[in-house]
Amino acid sequence: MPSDQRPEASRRTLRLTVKVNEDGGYELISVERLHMITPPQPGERPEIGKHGGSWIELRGARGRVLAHRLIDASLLHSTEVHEADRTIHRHFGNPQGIFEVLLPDVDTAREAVLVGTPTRRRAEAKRAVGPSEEIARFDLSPRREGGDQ
Amino acid sequence: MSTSDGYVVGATKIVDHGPDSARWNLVIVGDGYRDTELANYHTHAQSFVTALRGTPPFNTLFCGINVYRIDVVSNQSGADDPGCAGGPAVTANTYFDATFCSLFAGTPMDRLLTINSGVALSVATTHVPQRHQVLCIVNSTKYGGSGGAVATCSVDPQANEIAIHEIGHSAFGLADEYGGNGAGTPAGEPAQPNVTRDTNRATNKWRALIAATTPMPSACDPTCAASTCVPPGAPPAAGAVGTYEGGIYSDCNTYRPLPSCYMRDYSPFCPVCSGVITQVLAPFQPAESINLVTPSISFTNVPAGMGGVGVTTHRAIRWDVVTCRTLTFMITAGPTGGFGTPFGIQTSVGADPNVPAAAARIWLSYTSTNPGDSANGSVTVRCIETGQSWVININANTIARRRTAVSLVLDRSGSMTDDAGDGINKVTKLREAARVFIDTMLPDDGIGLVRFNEAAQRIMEVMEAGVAPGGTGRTTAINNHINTAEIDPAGATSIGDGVVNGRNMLNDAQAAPTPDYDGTAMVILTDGMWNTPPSLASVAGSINAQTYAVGFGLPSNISVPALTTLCQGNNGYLLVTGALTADQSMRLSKYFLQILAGVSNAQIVADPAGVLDINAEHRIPFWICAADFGMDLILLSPYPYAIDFRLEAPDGTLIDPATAGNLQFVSTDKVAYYRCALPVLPGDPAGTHVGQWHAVLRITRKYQGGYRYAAATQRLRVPYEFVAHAYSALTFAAQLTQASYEIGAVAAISAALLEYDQPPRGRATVWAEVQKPDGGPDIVMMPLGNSGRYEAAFPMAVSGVYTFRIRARGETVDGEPFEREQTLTGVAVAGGDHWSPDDPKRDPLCELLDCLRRTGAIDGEFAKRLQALGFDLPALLKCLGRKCRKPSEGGRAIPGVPTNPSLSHYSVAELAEALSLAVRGKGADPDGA
Ligand SMILES: [Zn+2]
Repeated sequence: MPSDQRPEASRRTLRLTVKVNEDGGYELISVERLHMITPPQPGERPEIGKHGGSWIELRGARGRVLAHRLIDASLLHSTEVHEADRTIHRHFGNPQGIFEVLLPDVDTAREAVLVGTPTRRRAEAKRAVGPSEEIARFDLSPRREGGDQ
Repeated sequence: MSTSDGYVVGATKIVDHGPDSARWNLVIVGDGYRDTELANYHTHAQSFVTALRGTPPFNTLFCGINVYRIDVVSNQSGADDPGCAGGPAVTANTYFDATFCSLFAGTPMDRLLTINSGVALSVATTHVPQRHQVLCIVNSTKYGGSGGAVATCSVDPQANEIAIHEIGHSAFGLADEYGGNGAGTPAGEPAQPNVTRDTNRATNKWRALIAATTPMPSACDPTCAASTCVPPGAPPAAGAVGTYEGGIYSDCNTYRPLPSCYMRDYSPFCPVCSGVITQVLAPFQPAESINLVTPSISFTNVPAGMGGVGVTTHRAIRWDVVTCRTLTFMITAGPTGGFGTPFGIQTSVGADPNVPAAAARIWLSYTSTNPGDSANGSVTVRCIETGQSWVININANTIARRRTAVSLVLDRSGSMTDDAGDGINKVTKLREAARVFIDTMLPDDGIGLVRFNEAAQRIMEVMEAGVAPGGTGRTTAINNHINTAEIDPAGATSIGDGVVNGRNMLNDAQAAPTPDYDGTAMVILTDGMWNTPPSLASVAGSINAQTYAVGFGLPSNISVPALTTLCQGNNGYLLVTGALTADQSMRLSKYFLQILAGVSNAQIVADPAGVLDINAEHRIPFWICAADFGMDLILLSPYPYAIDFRLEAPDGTLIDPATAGNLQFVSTDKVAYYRCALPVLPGDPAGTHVGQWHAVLRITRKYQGGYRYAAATQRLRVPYEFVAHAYSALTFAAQLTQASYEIGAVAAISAALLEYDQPPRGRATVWAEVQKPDGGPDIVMMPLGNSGRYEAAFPMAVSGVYTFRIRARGETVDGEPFEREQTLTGVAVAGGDHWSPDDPKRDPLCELLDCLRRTGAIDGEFAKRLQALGFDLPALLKCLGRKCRKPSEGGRAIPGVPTNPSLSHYSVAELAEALSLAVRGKGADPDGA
């Protein structure tokens, strides 16, 4: 046990399920409210335009960022292949499917903002991609609760 | 290929560290396992769990993690493999549709093993709503896997690592630390905590882990022409966290914390990644706690040893610990007072792999000395990691071995001349069994004899058994009573009077000034039904001796409910032999030996039977553990002197009757036994105590010679029964109760297992081997119930005696195997509950009918007259058969039917009322219900 002190962590968790459509669009298909601990997100909070990568921001009133979660590149636009010779390679492309994000279930949350590299730019670029920008925004106001499922 | 290709069986929490609401919950699903392969899946899932737990930092965080295994059956085994790398195409119809050669951006990738992650997430949610991570194990030995919404890996031994790497991404937000040509490398500072473009020690994101002496950057990739990395003047120390060029798909201008890491090449997680994982899992960790369960240790009333060897007994100081690290408890002072530390002065306890709590134990020992001695002391123990310290007081005392006065209450009614079932009459069997009992008794115990038929007599008052062989009590009992006409059969059956006399004899023995008996026990042998007052129920309440009974014969002839009630109310039990067959010829003696074990507080370790051929050597294994301080190894045979009976100790030492040590060998014409204190050889304590012993049996050379001619023409075969009793602090006590004695009644069997008065630390399995009256054997597992007893219920669906051989097998506190067993019997017979619990009342109707039948009064005329009265004679005769039971040959006692049929003690009014009740359908129920 690292210490007797238990870090503060939310005991209520939002699980957002996002669908990546063929056209590169993102759709929030489910919002679950769960009685479980939200894993903390270590590291400094990334900033749009400054940091590279993908993450989702939980925002409250006036766009205040309440929490964020880094998103594995495999979920958005790439896949990792573990070769028989024990080398690992990442391949970039335009996947489609679903991914999930765990965020603290905070009463003041209004929306979730997906930050990353727009899909339209990925297909053309085999070079280093640019800084991240907002690529989707999901309404979390109470009427959305339960998602579309 | 979809969910129509299989089904979900259910979920099992294979690692349970607490409520899902407070732990990080990993869900494992399997794909490509047919129903017959689920056991393999369980192994594969456990192997992943073991691998994860063995991967730092998960080893120290594991008690924050729960793991569920969801069993999913697929129609076919394995995974699709289109053969994109050149192999043959293979398809498998599986529930999650696992496939190699998954397409990515239009290109098939051979090792990219994917599944339908939407279905897997949905199955996981159904069974474990509070899941944090889902892993799918695919039943293919080809190396492969993938990340994403569900981590996926095959069962190749190294594919576990693919899943752990991918969980590093999906659950902990870690970046890949391998380089590349820069395709996919984000511009700007990567958001992930384990890769950077920043080599400035003042601003770097993991600067807290970088030593001032480590150069920044710490290493450059020499192949990077375009890099701005300036190589350090001197290389960093091995393992120093710094900035090493190459990471997140670019070899140049991006940096990772160490040369290698799980996120680069499956090496151990670097300190930065470990720190991230630790931070994520920190809120899931239970708080550490240490609770001393045994503030003092008492060795109360330890018996003085056998043959002058002190009895060593163990007690554990125990802490209940919730921890995720290893804690070491160490004795820092003591123990004072002469107590020992048999298993060392320290113990370390880590988190149990599957549950949050673990127990730490340091064992103390006490060796008994002389009766009346006592000892006091203390011991100080410290937990090295926490600095906590405890002082535990210890006390002990030695008492004389518990001495028991036993009265054998023996049936000598006329029916004891009947065949026992194997061609030998019952009284002969009784004499054998009584002699085995008396020959094998402990020397300090007392023996008294009561016989009964229609009345009972105390034929021998309680006397100390004395040395074996030849002690006064033993020889008097056998030569002056058991072997004489005193128990020749005659007359009726008054078990009640026998019990009264047995009780009175034991009370008198205890009231006498010497010798001082600590306890009393009564052993009743009867082959019949009570038929002469007093009733058992009327005397049961006055008995204060531990009471056992053996019903010798068929249960329908024996007062089973009354005897059961009598015994169970007095801490004993009833055993019913049933008819003896030739291969169970020694069953009565064996039952007596089991009762002797109960009386002398011995544990039954083994009791196999066999038949020795002339040239055969039988080696009968049995386990002796550290808690055992003495043992009796008993050989029953019609010809014990014809068997060369030796012991082989765990270290191979052979022990024979001439061996000098803590042993005695006794051989009579019915039984031979070794009575040993442990260790048997004082000079070889390690080799002649704990471990696997063997009884080694052969036909003796003398008899081999004598029978050589006979053996050439006909086989010499010597049957035997071997019984190992241990005097022990590891005790097993089984119980059987039945609320009904009718066919279909349920036998409730239960057993308690204690090691030094605590539940055994190691795992123990308890089961019953049931011999049914129709011959079929059955095994019933007896799981540990909430009451702390092992329990099971067994319906007795056919009529007769059910023999339950209740067995326990497990490991002792120090990891040595042990075995225990006890035999109990249950009984079901038609009309079983018609016996009054107050013992059978006499039934005038039955007696009338039987009298009429026997005297020839039931003739055609009688039938006609009854017919005229509206009375159906065939139905009445059915009553006789069902309600009153069929009298056995020879006019022996049956309920309500005196051997000499006389109805004189019934008034005419009583008979008339019985008849009229029967006519109205109340007295005689043709269904026997
Ligand atoms: Zn790392």
